[in-house]
Amino acid sequence: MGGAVDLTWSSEEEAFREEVRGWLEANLPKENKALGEDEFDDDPASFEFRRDWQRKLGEAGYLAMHWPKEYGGGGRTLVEQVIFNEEYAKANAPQPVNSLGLNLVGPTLMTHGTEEQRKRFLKNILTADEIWCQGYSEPNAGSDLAGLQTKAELVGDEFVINGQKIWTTLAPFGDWIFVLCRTDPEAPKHQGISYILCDMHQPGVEMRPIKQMTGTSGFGEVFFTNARTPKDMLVGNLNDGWRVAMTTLMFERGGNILGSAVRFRRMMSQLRELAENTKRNGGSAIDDPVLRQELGRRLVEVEILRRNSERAMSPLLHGESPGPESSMGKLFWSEWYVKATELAMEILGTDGLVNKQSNAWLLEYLAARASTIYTGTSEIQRNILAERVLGLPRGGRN
Amino acid sequence: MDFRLNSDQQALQSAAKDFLRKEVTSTVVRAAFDSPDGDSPELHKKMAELGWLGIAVPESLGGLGMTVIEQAVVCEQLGYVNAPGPYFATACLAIPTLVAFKAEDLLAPLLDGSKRATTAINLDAVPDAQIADAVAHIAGGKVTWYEKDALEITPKPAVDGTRRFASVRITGEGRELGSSEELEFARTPGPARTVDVLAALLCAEMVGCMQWALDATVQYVKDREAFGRPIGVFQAVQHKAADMLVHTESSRSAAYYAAYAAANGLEDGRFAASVAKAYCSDAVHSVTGESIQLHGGIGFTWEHDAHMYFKRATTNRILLGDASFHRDRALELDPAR
Repeated sequence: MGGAVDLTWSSEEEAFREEVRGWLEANLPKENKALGEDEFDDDPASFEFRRDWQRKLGEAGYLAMHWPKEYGGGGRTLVEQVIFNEEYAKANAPQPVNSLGLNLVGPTLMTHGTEEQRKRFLKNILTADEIWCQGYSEPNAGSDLAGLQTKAELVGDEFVINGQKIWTTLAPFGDWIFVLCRTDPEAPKHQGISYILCDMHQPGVEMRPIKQMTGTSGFGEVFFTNARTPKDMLVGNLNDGWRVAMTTLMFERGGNILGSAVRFRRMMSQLRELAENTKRNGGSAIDDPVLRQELGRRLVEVEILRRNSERAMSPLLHGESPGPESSMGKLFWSEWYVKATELAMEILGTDGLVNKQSNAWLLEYLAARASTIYTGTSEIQRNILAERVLGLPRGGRN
Repeated sequence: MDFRLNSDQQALQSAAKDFLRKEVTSTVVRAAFDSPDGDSPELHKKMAELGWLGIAVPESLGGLGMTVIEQAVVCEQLGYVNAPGPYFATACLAIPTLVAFKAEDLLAPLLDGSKRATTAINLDAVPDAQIADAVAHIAGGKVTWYEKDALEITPKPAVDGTRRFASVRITGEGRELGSSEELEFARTPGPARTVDVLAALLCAEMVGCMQWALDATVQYVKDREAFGRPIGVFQAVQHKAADMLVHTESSRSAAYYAAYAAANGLEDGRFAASVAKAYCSDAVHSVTGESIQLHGGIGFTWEHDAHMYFKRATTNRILLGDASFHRDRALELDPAR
């Protein structure tokens, strides 16, 4: 190991950063037409804009940085991914449109899929010709995901799927969905589940958008009524889908740990500008003693988000297992996001209540309410910290 | 890029841990807590023999020549055992003050443990002046060194029996060390000054304090049963414990970044110190307070150690600027402004 705690990058690493920065400056469309995150973006024009952007990234070798080259990925090291993602977040570049395909399905097929499945799907994930959705949550299985009820039965050479998925991100644009299905109803809860790929364009699959509290419909419900998919669309072994699903979740780790730290640091600067430019009591809102202290809290926390991320990343960069701080990231940033947007609304006063194009804070404020729910609610995150990091006895779940 | 301690630092951490957990038992802390002056002279001598008074003091001035990071490593372990005595006042207040003015002759007796000292910002409440042989006093833009015989020192009854305060009246002549700039929290961005280093070290001690409170609480809620089960199965308890963990680990990130920025003279050193002190001051109060809460009735007793950590937390969150002071300063120093 090196001389001391060292938060600098080597000259080769800095050179790569320069290369990425230069490319983004030259290629990022001047007008960002993306609405926001996948979770809220239901605008077809925004969608096509982000599809084009994904293809451009792919042509430059900056897409799927973590995929091996043989599958069309960037074949980059974790250090390079981290640097790329940091610059990407700094540039406020829009997310590639096929995020679930790139981050979840692709890596899962590389780990658990067959060679035929890789050949069939990976290229179209990269080109965004097939958009992927995640069929995990159900009306009665969210935090308790293993309680899922959607069934798949093997009939001849096909699985026949019946059931319902919900909160399905990107559903309005989806072409394919990876579905967790119960394939052995007699087995204990975590067993008897299979991970199956299914074409969404068929009579047995019906998609209904769900209007969110933001007014947009970034997710939807997906109904399966005797939907059919060939038996070779099974990923991993029959009834071993829980293990496959858990490795899929692991792929959300690693490379983008710094992304949220950078994104929210930018938001903090905007929040500060807002406070400086908003009149309050004959001066600026930033001079209001109460608001100023609240701004100070958010500033301090967003700095710590950065330092926590660097700590969480350190063992990974050196090929070691993550420490306890890695499990805190999602809880910390999502709760920061809620508090920061709440503060923006307080600073804005009645201006914040008007839903107009120029008031991006209102959408952020509403959107923040999803962040403490998706990919594991804050309550589930605290359970994980208590049980898996602190080693407290498992509570009321089994 | 690596935010972990290197192997030498880890070795120091483990040596400090072994030494302190053996030497500074609850009995030792309580003896100081209940003593007339809060002193623990034997412990102080042993730490001097280990060279711990001068961890970050340059070798040319008689120290070990390591960095603020190594000193933070030791301070964290001192916080974990709630070490009593004049170490903090001497090694984390007076010695860095003397180093800032390169007062080699005054340093020598402090480094070998034969004398102890403290630094006074407010003469009405000087940390551990009642067990100090000398006081560095900051006033009127200058720092002046006073030996005990030039002072009238009156101990005060303090909330933390192991970190006390005395009022100091100057009755004799002192030795002027220089401009007090190093001991004032600058309101313009730049590399850490001495006072920012002091704040970073205090934060490291608070991290150790939080880690003890967390460890003790986790053990207790695993062992204590109610309704036929360990209370650690209940989510109301689990979620408090999880928040204690988040506060402790986040404080650790902030404290060690402040130490790193100071050790390397980074431009955001002052900012990093205020970020750390603002966060740790609130976190240490919350974590040691929740520790009492989760221990229930036993946590409120004199017999249990939880109250001593809560009282140390109560003291440390105020020393060297409280959270609201440092939040305000962080906003002024924000490098992304």
